[in-house]
Amino acid sequence: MNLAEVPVLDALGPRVGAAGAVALASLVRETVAAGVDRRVLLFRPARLAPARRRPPQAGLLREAWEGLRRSSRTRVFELPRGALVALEGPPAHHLAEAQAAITAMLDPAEAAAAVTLLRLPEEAAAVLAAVEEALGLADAVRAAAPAAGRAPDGAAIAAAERALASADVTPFLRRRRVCRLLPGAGAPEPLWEDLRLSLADLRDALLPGCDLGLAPALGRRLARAAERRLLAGLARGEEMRERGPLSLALGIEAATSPEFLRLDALWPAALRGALSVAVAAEEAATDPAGFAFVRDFLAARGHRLILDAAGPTAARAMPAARAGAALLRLRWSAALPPLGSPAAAALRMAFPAGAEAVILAGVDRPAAIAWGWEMGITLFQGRLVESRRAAG
Amino acid sequence: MSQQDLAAAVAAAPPGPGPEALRRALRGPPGRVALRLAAPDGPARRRVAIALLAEAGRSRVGVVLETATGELLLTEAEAAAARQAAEGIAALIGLAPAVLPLPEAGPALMDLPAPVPAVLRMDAPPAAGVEALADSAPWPALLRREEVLCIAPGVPRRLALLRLRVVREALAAHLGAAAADPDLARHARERLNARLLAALADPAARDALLGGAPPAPLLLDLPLALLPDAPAMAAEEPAAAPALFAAIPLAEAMAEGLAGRAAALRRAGWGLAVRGLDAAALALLAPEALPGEALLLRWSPALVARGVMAALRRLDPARLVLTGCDGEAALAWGLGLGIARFAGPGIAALAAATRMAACRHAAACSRAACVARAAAVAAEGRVGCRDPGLLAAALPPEADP
Repeated sequence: MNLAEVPVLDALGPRVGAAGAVALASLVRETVAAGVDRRVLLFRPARLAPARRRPPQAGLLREAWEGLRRSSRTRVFELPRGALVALEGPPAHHLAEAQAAITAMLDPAEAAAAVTLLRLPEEAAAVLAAVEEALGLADAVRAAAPAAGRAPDGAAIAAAERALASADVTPFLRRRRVCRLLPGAGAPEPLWEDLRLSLADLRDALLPGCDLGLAPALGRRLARAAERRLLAGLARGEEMRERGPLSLALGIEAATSPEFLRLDALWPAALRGALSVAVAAEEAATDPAGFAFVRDFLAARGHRLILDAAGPTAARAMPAARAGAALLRLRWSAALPPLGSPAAAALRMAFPAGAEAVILAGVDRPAAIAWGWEMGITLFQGRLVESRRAAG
Repeated sequence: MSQQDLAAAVAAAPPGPGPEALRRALRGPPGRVALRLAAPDGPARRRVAIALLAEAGRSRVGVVLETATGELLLTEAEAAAARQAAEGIAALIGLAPAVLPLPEAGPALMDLPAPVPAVLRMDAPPAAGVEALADSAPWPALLRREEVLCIAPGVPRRLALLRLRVVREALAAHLGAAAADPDLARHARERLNARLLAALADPAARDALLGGAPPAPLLLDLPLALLPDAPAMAAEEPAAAPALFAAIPLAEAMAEGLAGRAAALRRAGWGLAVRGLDAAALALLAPEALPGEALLLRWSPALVARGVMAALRRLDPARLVLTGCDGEAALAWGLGLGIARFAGPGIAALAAATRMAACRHAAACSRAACVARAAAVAAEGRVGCRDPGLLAAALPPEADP
């Protein structure tokens, strides 16, 4: 199923039947409170075999039920998920007739499962349970993914932050060269160094056994603390002397942190334009206004902005040009669309204009480079690019 | 103030690095300027403003001071460098610094309340204990029940969704210092939302929250991690309408494969919604590429801007839910765009008015009371209502056609 086929909740379509459930539930409660004697016929077509729920059988069953609407003695309710309920005072001839007509069309076991005649007030609980079932909320809630794994809590993050305060973050750094690689042009030509903190490595060292995905906001806070440590290490005079062109993957807060502002102040005039900050599209979506400010700040200081897209959905949902980033970095993965597909064409439409505006990262196999070239990409980074550089 | 008075004021100023830097600025040669900037909006703008001011003052050893009210002052700079910095700051943070010639502007500077050297800082309130704060906060004060109505010309209004959501401001009041950290505040909200979902599995707890059986599918703010992975079933099984719409954050809506999970979600009784769209987000996004049957768009007058409207051009307006509608302007903008689902204080008032028109006991009630009772998530908040069935239903039942 693709996006176009997702059933859209039709704003003006038929009612979902919840109103019937609410009305029935309150009628049952009133009946019980008043001690009035009522019969309730419950018909749940969802419990029938699939063949019975298709025409022509479904039509015949429906017809047997519709007779109930013609009597002024019965009240009929339609519940969500197709369940039907009718109420009538004793002796409830109409209900008995409809029940007989429906049961006659079904196997005995099927009929027992799908058609039930209940008494109020004695069996109110069973009627209310049917309403619950029809609403489907309890089932939906039970379907929620169980929280497997251990989520970190605030205290664990605070301890990790304390450990970070005196730790060297270089062991958690991923260093890659971003290289120009043209078809038939030989060895990759390194253009700049890319630095990124690995949140997975940080977690393994500081919060072993924790799943940061279960508390993403706390993971973001830890990443911020680590990025500030990284920047503090970079923003030193002696570091600057050996500096070449650089890109840094940062969160929104880190990009205006005191440590980044110090790095900006120390950044050599000769290298203006050679510092890039990469911000993830997810990060920009977390704080769009904050991202816009970072983007404008970087532009004002002569630095470049790279939009990091984890996959094609992110690249398309936040087109780099629209977000104001001249560069897009896409991660190589199986989620990328095959060449020549409409999805590939749509992805290419989301690329920023200009030569060398897209970087393909995570390149670990020749197929990635081939894919990139076909998509017009000439900037690459990843394990394979590093080894080719060493070999070339 | 005469030169003598100024000299006296300068001499009388309290000791400390702030007044000391001002004294130094006032003693220097003419031709220099000071820059004075109103308090920037938010910590990021404040830090950047301080850094840019400091850079402008570096050649004259000017100091950036901060007053008790958050105003910033660069004590001295070369005029050319200062003017350039002032332009840059105005363009970036939307506030233009005043350029004050020295020493003529001295009196104005000596009036500043308690200036001290500005420090580049980034506050990180302690993370430990945020869960206990979130868990101890009383639910009825934190949660709101909110009607999402279908409104379209020529069609009777009806309830599309019933939203249960954490009121940020109310939760912030319970989090203390941690509320100032957006990540800790979000962590606390997500924790509450997950507990809310668990509570809804119990019919009694659910009735307490909603006032009765839900009259429409529920809309809850949930993280992607809670979305069910329903087992594949025969393709011929028609999926029922969702009982529960999970509104996931915008950042998580960009994950791969979500659109493909819609069918499985439906079989589990779930629908997918995306929250967090607002004018600032639409300025970055192509929203038509987002998955989900409902995209929650927060109303603000900034939505009327042309660049924002352009983002909506390729989007089916039936997918949008306009939230935070506070009056006619929001509704008119949404209807004009073809949006049919609305929520917010204005919509809650509309729902209350519709209820009261059908309620036999309305004469004894006020609109405000009916709004407050409908928003309540505990029996105490509904006390006084004499038609709790109608209150739980949010809108009166439609007349049979």
